[in-house]
Amino acid sequence: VTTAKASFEDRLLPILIEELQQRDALAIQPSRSRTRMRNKVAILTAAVVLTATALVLTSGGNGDAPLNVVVTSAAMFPTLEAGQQVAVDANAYRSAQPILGDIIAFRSAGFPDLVSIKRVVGLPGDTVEEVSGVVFVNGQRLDEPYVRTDEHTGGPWTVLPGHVFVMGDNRPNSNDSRFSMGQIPVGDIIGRVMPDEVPEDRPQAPLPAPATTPPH
Amino acid sequence: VTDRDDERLLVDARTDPAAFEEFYRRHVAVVVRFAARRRSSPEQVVDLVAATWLEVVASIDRFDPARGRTLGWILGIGANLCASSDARRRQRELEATTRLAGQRALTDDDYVRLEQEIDAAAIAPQLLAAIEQLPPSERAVAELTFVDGLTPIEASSALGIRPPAARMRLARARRKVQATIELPEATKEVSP
Repeated sequence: VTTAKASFEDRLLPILIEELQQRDALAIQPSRSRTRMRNKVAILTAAVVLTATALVLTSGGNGDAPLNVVVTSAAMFPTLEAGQQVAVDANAYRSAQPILGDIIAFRSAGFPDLVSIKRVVGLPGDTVEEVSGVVFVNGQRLDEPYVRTDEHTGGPWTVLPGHVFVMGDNRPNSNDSRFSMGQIPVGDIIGRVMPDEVPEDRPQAPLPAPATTPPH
Repeated sequence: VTDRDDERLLVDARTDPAAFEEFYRRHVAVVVRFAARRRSSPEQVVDLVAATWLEVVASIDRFDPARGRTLGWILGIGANLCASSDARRRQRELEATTRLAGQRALTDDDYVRLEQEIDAAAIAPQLLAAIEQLPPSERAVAELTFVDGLTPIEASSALGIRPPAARMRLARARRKVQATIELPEATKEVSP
């Protein structure tokens, strides 16, 4: 069945609107009636909070309290929305490794000032492939009811040792490991977005077979 | 919604995605034609269109309705992208391409349509060739007026120069271009 695909102008529009909203996405739930001045103050405040968050982490603070991070883009839509605040458990990976389906906060090399939030879809040694919007890990299909997907095909990619492969749930509208962001060194992970923030936290299929590469 | 003029719409678009969408739909075709006149493949057209619109979004707070019409402002952004150094332009287009990511693959319909735009833009290859010989400062203003149909005043505000400077450059450009080819009688309006 052939469905009429949207023109590239139509596909560009949501990206532009996301960009537009990102201009002040740092403002926590801005209300329409606020003045621009107050918006700017909110953006600045949020930026300071974000920076402070990153600073606390780099200085090795090991407080048990979850960190609050404001989602700044629509790349994790519909699971997380721009402007939403989520709690990030910075202790999640002190004694455990990320697993498939985890939503992680991290700093990516391309955007060192920003905290990015994406979903882990590949672990070290895994082979990740995207076929018409469906993700396969080690040849096994990931059932991901939480994503907004498109017909994108890419890969296969082999996940490097010490890295994870991430994607935003908003597949048509996310810069992630498929694109210029690349794979994320485990050391750059800040923490795990607390599961109670997230309605559908895990892939619904049985987890794919473990990578052939042994751990460690 | 539809009766708002372009300038008002662009100001509203800063905070209202629906207003932005309306504004985008009004003007995207003009930007595609603008890009088709300056690029020779559908992919290049898409890159320039995307880069121009991303720049529009990035600069949207800087649009000043008192200083001119939106069309000149948008095409000025596109013209500045084209005029900036190759390295910088490639960087902007690379950013645009990265942002477009999975959206970038063109459909058959896109190809046909954009090829047609590029062919249509080729009606004046001699004019473009003559303009390409001009020094950069005259070239930008000549393209916007002779090719894209802006008035000299719109072109001046698009390029951030004063109207008398634009007229002077334009006069020089016109003399040089006319020495090569016959220019059309008058520039025409391109707004939809």
